[in-house]
Amino acid sequence: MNIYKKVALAGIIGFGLLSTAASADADKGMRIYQKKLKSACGFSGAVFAAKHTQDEWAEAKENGELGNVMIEACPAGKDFFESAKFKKKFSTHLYDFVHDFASDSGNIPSC
Amino acid sequence: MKKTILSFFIICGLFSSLSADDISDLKVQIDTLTKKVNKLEKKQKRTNKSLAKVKKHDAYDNIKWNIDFRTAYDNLNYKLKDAGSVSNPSLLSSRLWLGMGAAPTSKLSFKGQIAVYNTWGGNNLPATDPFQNVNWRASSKADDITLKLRRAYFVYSITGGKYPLSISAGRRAASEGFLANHREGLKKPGSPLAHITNMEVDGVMFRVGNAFGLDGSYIKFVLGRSYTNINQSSYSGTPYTTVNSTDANVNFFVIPMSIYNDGQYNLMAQYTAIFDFMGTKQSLISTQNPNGATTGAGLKHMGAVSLQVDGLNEDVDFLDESTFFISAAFTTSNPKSGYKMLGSDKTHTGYSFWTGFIFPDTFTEDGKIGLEYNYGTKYWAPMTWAEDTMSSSKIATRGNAYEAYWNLPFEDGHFSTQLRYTYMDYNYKSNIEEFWAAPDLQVGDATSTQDVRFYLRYQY
Repeated sequence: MNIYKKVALAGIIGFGLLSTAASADADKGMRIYQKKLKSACGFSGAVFAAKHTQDEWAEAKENGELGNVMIEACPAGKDFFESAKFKKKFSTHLYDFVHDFASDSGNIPSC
Repeated sequence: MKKTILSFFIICGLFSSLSADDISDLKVQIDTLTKKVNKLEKKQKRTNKSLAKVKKHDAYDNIKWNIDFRTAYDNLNYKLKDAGSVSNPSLLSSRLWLGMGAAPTSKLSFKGQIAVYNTWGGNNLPATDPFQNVNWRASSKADDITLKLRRAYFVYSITGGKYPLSISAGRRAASEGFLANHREGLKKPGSPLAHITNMEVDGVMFRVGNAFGLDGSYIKFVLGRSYTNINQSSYSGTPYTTVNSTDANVNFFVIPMSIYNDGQYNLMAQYTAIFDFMGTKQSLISTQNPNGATTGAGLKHMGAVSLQVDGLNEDVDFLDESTFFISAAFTTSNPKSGYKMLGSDKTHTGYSFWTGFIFPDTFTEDGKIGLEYNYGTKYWAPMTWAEDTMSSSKIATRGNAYEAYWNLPFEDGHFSTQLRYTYMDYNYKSNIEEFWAAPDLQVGDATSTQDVRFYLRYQY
């Protein structure tokens, strides 16, 4: 690999390491639930999301109460929902996930 | 008695302590509240009327629809063995998937897809080619504007509990499977492992959840038929039977499984057995069948193990949004006495390796770049005919295949574009062409192909 390609590759990787996270993603939210919460909560993400309607989840988010409402849904996840990482990084993805699979979302599960 | 008299005097005292102004204020408040209640009751009546109209309108509206519509441009180039090259500098196509879903109860659901995949102005594809519209890839290969059934199956949850059991039957979600979804710009993969299965097939499936006691594990058992040897039409005296046919039904048994899935590490495996698979028989060679091709030639086994890692490091944004995968697979052809498979009367096994890395493009909010590499040996022969690559199946390459793509979503993913470059360098004949034949390259066979694709896509 010549010097120009090495510099370009280093630039892409270096710039990439500084880039901000992508926009909120329900699939990422589902994976976050699977990785961080499923064992603690003891039930699937679909069950967790279905504990509220879409309006209820939206209202919790608008009122800044999303973490508290999620703690009520899964008390065992309290430490996670109160963590800085949840507030800064995971909450928007998790919100997208629970909104998409809320009790009145009409979402049909895959096979 | 004394208590009653005492209560009476207390109440009188309370009323007498209220002044005339207080009573007047209370009356005003009661009037205001009464008006509000009347207003709310009228609003409630109007809402009930509207809801009744919506209910009438949607009654028996038992399918939820979704649309995936894509228009693509492909630039195709093929170098041929001792025969120069051929190309198509501008293949234009449109593909429409109409998705259907319904869940009348919490235990029962239906999912389906009907599809049109046409080349613009295309009506010259050889009508006499028996494989152009075969059942196992008819809606996945660009052809004409005919609507085709791509998927249709129900899922019924038989039991819940620690090992939930469900059953499903119909035309399976057996294309764009695990790992192939990235290059197709799809967030969710189909059911099987795309390293060995990418086809449209019909079958019955049993699924056992938590099969291995590990996070996200399950196992499926799928029985199906990919070829039926019926040669009597519904207009004959014996409809839907077989008369004097040397062909056999081709049945398959597939076991896809999720061994472990914790949301970051997803380890999947699959075993497939195909009975009476296609091969050749010397005695069947004729003018109409110059290769003596037939089903019933022998048994085919396939197996794959695939690992995907989503989010390589949650403390580094770039790596947290990246995905890495690696997969290994084999296929074995085991011909019966008197038959040949892959041009040989001996058992042969082929192997393949596939890896990919998908990462943020760093200059758009949601764009991702994917890099993939495939390698296949001489007798590598997966069932990937429905793979969405115009220039033949990349996964089935017997040689080296390199691919780079850039998926760029807009409008919350409802509109997207892709730029993709696929290069396949064949050491042996492409498995998709004459899939019963010996792998050695003949004059005129493609030795390498290039496919540059750009698409615009609407999804909602």
